[in-house]
This record gives sequence, C-alpha cells and structure tokens, in this order.
Amino acid sequence: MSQNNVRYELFEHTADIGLRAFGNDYPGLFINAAQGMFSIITGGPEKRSPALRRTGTTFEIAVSAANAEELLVGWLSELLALADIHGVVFSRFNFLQLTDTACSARVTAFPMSKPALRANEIKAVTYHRLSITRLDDGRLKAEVIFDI
Amino acid sequence: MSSYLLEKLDEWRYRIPKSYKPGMLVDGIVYADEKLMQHIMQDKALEQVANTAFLPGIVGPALAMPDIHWGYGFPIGGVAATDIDKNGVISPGGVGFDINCGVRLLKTDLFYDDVKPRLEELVNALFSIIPAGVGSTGSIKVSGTEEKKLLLKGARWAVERGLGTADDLDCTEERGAMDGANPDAVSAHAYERGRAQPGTLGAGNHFLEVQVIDTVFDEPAARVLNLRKGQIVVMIHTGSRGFGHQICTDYIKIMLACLQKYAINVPDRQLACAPVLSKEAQDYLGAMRCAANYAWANRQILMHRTREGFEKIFKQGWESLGMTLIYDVAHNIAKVETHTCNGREVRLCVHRKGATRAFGPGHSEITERYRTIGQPVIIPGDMGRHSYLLTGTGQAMRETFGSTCHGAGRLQSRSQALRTVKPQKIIAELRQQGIIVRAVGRQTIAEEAPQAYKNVNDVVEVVHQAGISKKVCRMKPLGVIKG
Repeated sequence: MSQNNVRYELFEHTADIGLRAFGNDYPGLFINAAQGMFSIITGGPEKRSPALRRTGTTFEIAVSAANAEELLVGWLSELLALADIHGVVFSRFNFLQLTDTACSARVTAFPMSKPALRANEIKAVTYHRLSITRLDDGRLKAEVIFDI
Repeated sequence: MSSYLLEKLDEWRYRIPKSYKPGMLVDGIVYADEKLMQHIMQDKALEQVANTAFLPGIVGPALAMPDIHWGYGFPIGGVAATDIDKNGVISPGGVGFDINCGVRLLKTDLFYDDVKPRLEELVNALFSIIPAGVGSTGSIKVSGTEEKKLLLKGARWAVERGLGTADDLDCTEERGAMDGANPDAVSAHAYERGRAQPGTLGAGNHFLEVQVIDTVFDEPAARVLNLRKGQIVVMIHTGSRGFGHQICTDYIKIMLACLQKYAINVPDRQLACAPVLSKEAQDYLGAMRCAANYAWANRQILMHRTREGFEKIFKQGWESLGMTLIYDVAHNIAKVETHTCNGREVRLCVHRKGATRAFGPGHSEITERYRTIGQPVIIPGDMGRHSYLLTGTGQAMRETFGSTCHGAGRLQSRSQALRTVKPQKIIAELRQQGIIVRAVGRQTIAEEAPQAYKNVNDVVEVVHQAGISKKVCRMKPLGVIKG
C-alpha cells in the first residue's frame, strides 16, 4: 500500500497505462486523478516548458454519470477532450459541485505548444477494471486504465 | 487462466470451452502455437476472450488471433460476430477508441540500391513533411461543413482535393468510405477534435516506414500485386485520431445505460453494448462509420504527403516512381457482413478489435484486380524486425468470419519497456542494422522498441499454417518515423 503523501502512481498494463490515485475526499481524489493523467501526457512536472508557467485560461465544465466511478471516467474524459481540442494541459481544479452522479468545476489550462514535450498520447479513459475503494486509513483510492 | 483450462485442438488452435465461465454463450478459439501461448498466458487476454463470449447474439466462437494481448474489454487481437436478426449486439469497446486504426502499403518502382545512398535524406524529408507526435495537427484544417463532407466521403474527400487518385480508392477497404455514416450522430467535441487533425500520424504505435521486400513467398500473388524482392515500399499506420477517440468515449457512456435498458449482462463495463437494431446502436454505427471514413481520409492524405517527399528527393513525379497504393486495411472496426453459418446465410455484426479482414479469393468485396488472389492483408511488425503482406483465404471465410491477425502484439508493458530500454541505444543498434529512426518523442522509441513486441514472424507463421491467411512477401524496415 502506498504512503499517505502519494497522490497518484502508475501501474502496469500490457498495452496501456494504469493510474492509481488517492485522496482524502472525492474532490481530492478527482483532482489527483486528473493531475496523474496529465503527468502521463506531459511526462511529469519536471519536463514542463516555460510556456506552462504563463497565465492560464479558465474553463467551466459539468459532467454527470450513473455513479461515482463512471463520473470519474466522465471527468477525466472531459478534461482530455478539452486538452486535445485546445492544445492545453490542466493543472488547477476548483470544484463547484461534486456528488456521486454529477460534478461541475472551474479548471485552468496552460498551453502545450510543442508536441515534442508531451510524453504520451492518451487516447481515452476506459472503464476496464475501474474502481473506487475506501482504504483502511480512510483515504479513497481509484484505479483507472488509459488507452494509450 | 490456467493452462489446464485450455484445450489444444491442433498445433495452431486452442479452445476455451464455454464451461470455463458461467455466462459464456460460445467457446473461445485462440490461434497460437505453444511458444506464443506461453506469452499470451502471462496477462489477462484469455480472460478477455472468455468475456467477449458473453455478448448477446454471438455466433461461432469468440476468436483471438496470435497477436492477442491484454486490452480493455475486448482483447487486442479479438474477433466476435453477432447475429443482427437475433438481437445480436454491437459494442463500441469491441471496436476500440482508435476507430479504423489501420495500415496501408504503398509501392514504389525503386529498389534498395536506388534508395540506400539517399536513405537518410529521404527519412529526414518525410519526417519534416509528416506531422507526428502527441496532439500533432496538420496543414489541413477543416470547417464544420467541410468536416461533415469528409466524414461522408472518407478517402474520396482527399482525392477530390487532388491528394490522390481514383485508383487509390479502388485499393482501399470499403473504397475508402463506409456507407451509412451519419454526421448528425457525432458530438460537438468529436467535431472539434477532428478539425485540425486530418493528415496527422499521431503517437504511440503509429508510424510511417520505408521498407524493402526481403522475401517473396508467393510469386504468382506477388506478380498480381506488382511486387518483387528488393523493391521499396512504404507502410503507414494510423487511425481516426482524436475524432475517433471521442466517438468511442461518447458511445460507451450511452451504451452503459443500455445494459440495464436491454437487460444485458457482460462481465466488464468496457463491453457495454446494445442490440444492433436499437436506436443507440444505429446511432453508434452511424458515428463509427464517420470515424472510419475520417481515418481513411487521414491515411490518404499522409500517403500523398509521402509521395511528395519522394518526389522532392528523387526529383521525379510520384507516378513515374511507380508509387501506387497496394492496399489499405482497417484493424479496429465493426462491419455488417453476410457469412454462412451452419449452412445458412446470416447477417452479422463482425467486430474486429486489432484484427484484419481477410476475405478469400473470389469475394465480391475485393477489388477486381486482386479477386483471384484474395484480399491483401497488411501486417506491420516492430521497427527492428519485419512486416508482412498476406492474402485472405477461403478458410478464413469458413473459420474466422474472414479475419486474421493485425500485427506483432505487445509482449512488454510500456513501463517495462521504459525501464529496460535506452532510446539512444536502440537508435544506435537499429542504425547498425541499416535502419534509420526519427521520432518526435524519445520515450516512444523505448516503448516501441523491438523487444517490447512479440516476434511478428512467429505470429504470421501461425495464421499462415492455420490457413486463415497466406504469406505473399516479407518486408524489412529501412527508415522509421514515429510520433
């Protein structure tokens, strides 16, 4: 089991990449999962370009789903689509609402100008082996596999 | 899955009996030899074959090709056909996110000695012309109206803009556009994602390779295809980019709700599906066909850019360089096809997820120029070994709904490859073998290193020996462009 300060980690999958995210509550879990996803795309914060430190652009997004697990996929999928459309990565997330079946958030995007800076193209967020569980220490753990 | 649960049928086929798991409607059949089966058993791919056998309306066995590996929902290398008129379903996960990810093979009349002295220059020229890498955008940006036209016309959209010829369409599966594409079933996000990506390679396992034919196995078929040993060809592997990814994302969500609506029980949410004749499924099919057509337009544009690259280096028009398209096949697609099952003609929805259509000689869907030899099947390998051109067979029609493998199949996970492979070392080793590699992302080289894949020679031997496709010739890479 991971240490309390680990926000996310990757796990093995033959063709794709698995992400394990942790959080003290649902907003924390969803934010850490999003940050984990963008760390896969950018290759980690240490590789980010100066362009990323410019003032970001804010988007408001709203997603709904049948349950919390599917909401997580919806949340990540929405961020991924906006990132692809606008050529950006997201790194600031502010939830306005988050229930088991709906969320709305204000998210801040930063430009990602050079494709070469990105480490991985995530095609999509899958439902395969998707889970959210409560750990013994009270934290939440989510597992999700991305199609690479 | 334990080996004792698998029944070895012959040297090239294994059976997963439907008794393996309650809920399986049919057996699973895996095409593999003992060596490949050892690899296959190391991940969860066989479990996924068993899971696809749950799909309502499935007919014949759930099939897996020798390049099978662990995917999400369906295994990569899986084929499943459902009876449309008996409530058979369609599953967007059975097509995958990269709808009509596929490959095309372009011939030249150049031979190895013509290209060798200028190989580096050629690869550099192609690398500068072909937009590649994560989130890459091309020189073509389409308006919403124009994008709709592209979605309906597929490769023909590009040809009408001067990026190819009618002959190219004749040598493309579905002539480069599926009928029944419905642009109204496409979300705003998909339109937006597709706007700037026609004519882009992308990243991951997508590539463009300059190759040389190093072995000809079937001289008569090679003659029909106008191919000889030593000839230079170009292989392009990519799909429908963000447009297709979004279509699949949108429709899996819709199909999740269908599981309850149509009382469907599948063991993995990624297998979410709906009866083919339902509104949800028809909408998906309409949108999926748009994505398939997008992918054919994409590969058509990339092929034309490749022709321009050769023209620049060899100072001749592409026509005089003999740069005609051999064929273009889809690897991730669902098709409505008629097959003979138990002596009667049945209308099926055939899912090919990391599998290639391989129709046998005489089939009316094959262009007349190749009808005597069967449909050309293009099998890319890894960047250090080989790729193959095969033909479809009558046996594939009888056994696999006219399907065969699609590539080498992954052996190592991406993170395993990253841990064990140094990109610079791979580049140097490949250069020693006469292979020049150019990649946008260094990490891609490690992830896509030859050792991360099964040996394509082993995979192709299985489908050849099993009779579901037939080897025509083998190609060796000379120049590799990756995202």
